[in-house]
Amino acid sequence: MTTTTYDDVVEDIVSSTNEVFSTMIPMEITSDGSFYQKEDMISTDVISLVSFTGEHSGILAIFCCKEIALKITSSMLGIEAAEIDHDTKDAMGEVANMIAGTLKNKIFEKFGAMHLSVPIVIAGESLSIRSATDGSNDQQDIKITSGVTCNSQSSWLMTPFSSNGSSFNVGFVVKKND
Amino acid sequence: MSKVLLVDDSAVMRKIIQRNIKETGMIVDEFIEAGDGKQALDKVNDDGALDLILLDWNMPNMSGIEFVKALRSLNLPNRIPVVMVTTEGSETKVSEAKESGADGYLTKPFTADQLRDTLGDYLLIK
Ligand SMILES: [Mg+2]
Repeated sequence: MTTTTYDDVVEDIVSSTNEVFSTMIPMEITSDGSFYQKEDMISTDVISLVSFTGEHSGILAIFCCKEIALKITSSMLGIEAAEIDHDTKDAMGEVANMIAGTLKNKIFEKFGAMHLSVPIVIAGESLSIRSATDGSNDQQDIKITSGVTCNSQSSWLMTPFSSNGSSFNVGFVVKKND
Repeated sequence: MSKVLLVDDSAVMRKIIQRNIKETGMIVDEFIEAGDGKQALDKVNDDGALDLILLDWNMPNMSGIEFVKALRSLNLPNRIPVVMVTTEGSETKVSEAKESGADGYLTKPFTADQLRDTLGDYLLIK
């Protein structure tokens, strides 16, 4: 398996993300380099992705923890989002949609025309498992944070952003169609 | 009485657009919402007396471009202005939209000022 690298896209991912935040999400963000990550190493609470097809196909996705998804939703809507609900998923989907749309125009010359899908948001919430304790009232709650994975062949180009101590990654994976 | 139809598959985006319209002092008496082109056509059939339609491009069931073509083929007595509000921003897409019957175009993400500048031609500003 060959790993495709496309480091030159990082700059466009950073500027597209900054553009979306500076116009529609009143929240300070800073980017901090980029790295490649094997897919089976990705563990996250929320994935918001937009796939694209054309000469190249690929995915742009936001990977983040529940806290930052709530923070982004709250800033975007000017409300206090407390739970991962329909609004949070909708907001995160639109963020990915806008970053992908902005990026598409910047990388058009490199990757050719592409068609974007409607956004898909997957949220894994903390699961609570109650252990059986033989009639004892001393029940224990075990919290498990679920991880979600996608199934692509190559490594993801991850561009991390942080805001007041919390962070999220904008992931990008692309391959040329034969 | 000004009535605006907001067509976007994202309810969050519909809320943001409404908030921005209000905050920038544009006068709208009633917002009607639709989540795709099909719902939007139903709304037009229910009440053709709309002053403006704000239209997303990428939506399930019926896309914005399919909607605007269908709308224009109805040949309504009052031509309702349509402004695309979409992440699609390439020149090809903009001209495709205009040829299909869209009047204005705004690319997402947008600032409140950009929204007001684009919609200022169609809505009164306080
Ligand atoms: Mg949409």
